[in-house]
Amino acid sequence: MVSALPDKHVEVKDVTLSYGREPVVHDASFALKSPFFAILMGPNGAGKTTLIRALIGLLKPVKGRASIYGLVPWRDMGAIAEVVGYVPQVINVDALAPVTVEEVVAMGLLSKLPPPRVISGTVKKKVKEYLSLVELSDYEDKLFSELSGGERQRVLLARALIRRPKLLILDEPYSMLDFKVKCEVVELLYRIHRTLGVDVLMSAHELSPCMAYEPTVILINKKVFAIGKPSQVLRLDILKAAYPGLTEVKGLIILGEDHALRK
Amino acid sequence: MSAATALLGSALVGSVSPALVVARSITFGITLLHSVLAGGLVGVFLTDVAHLPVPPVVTAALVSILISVLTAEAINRGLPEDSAIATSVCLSVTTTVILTYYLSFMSPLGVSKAMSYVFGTSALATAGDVARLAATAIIVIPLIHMFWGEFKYVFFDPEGAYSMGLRVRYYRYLLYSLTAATATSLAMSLGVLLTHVVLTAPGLIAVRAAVRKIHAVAYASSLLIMASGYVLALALELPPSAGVGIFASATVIYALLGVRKWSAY
Repeated sequence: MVSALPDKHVEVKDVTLSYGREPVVHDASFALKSPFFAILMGPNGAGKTTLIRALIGLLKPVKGRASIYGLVPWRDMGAIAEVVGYVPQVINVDALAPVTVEEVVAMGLLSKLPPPRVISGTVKKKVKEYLSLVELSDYEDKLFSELSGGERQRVLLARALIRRPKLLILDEPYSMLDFKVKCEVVELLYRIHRTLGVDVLMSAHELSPCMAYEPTVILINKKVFAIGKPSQVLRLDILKAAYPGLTEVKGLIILGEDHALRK
Repeated sequence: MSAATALLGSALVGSVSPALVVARSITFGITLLHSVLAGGLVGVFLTDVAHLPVPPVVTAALVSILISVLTAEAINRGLPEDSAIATSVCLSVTTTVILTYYLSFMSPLGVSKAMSYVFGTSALATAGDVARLAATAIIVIPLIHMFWGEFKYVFFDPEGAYSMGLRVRYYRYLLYSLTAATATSLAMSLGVLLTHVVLTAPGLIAVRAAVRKIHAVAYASSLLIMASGYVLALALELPPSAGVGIFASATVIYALLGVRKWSAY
């Protein structure tokens, strides 16, 4: 775990992000104080993934600034790679690539070393340890392509954790999983947050699987509408502003296909 | 000489082909051959028309490496891979057409020299061919094996690799440049047309047949294709490249037929 870094946490200040002329995220601002278990929540096209891409240094803001423990992501890439463990959306990896689970997880560790990056006995042992942490013992020799969606998510999580990051950033870690598996993934993330002291920031469409853990919610749709505990953020006036497609039915407000709240 | 050419060629193909398949860049690998032809024509033009002492093999290698790096950079900048490849093909084909037009009346002999890039010269493999393939193999094969894990990983999850500090851009440059060097070297012996097939078959077979021993299977299938092709060519009194072509094509068809049909249509 990186501990010698300045404790400035995560800060996004007036950040505007764009791939072309139109901004995808406009003047977004929020700050998180360690330790945190936070969710970047918003509808499709809200700019969640874009903001995450900026936080890991893949995208430079058009305007504003962001910092992670005092580091600027697109400037201090080497240092950011040391403190941030990134877990992409499973659909963004080549699921049919001929790689084994061991190779995927080991690369988390080997990427810190110069070439040739050979999987040694020590690395194998570490891979076993972290696969066990994500409850995938004895999966080393399986092919990534043979795994279920939930298992793939756990493998990518193990790859991020083996680097012993201070912050885990996950892009839609439970999208396209059934509700039970979603809850299992969130439970695992919360356990890692509590036991290893890793800060967690994930993006999601829905909050339901996380409600039990009282996460910090950052409600975003192009801009940040609110930040706070679910009871502070999930208010009708705020949700109506952030979700233009919000539907009200018989005492409920419906945000999405599997996410409804009592009025 | 032909046997040595076949052996070295199969070693080169056995190393590069799986990397291209894993990187989902096999289309790039085969379309890159257009730039080998364009580069060869540049060399023929410089030697025969401008009377400059620049061997066509050097210009072929330089042009194909340059175009491969340009393609990699276009992809890195966000252009879809198929569009980047199409642009590189346009550039190469335009160069080929223009130079062929001028060479046809300025140096008719130059056109026939250039055609040796299309059909290959392995029927007349020389010590120069063997030396060229050996030099390419000495550079390409160790580098492919040294960075095999990174190639697999970078193309498996480019964003994840980048977030871990791996320079995705440079690995793409490296793979594409090594492919360009291999394609140039092979095209001189086998011809551009045949290299299309030979560059594809071993990687396809290896990735389909043996996920965990990809390179072993790729080397074996590559050697088998080359050796059987040469034997067939001897038996049927064909040019060696034709024999290799028949075997390589048969292997690709077998690999395609071997794909388990899972869809209803």
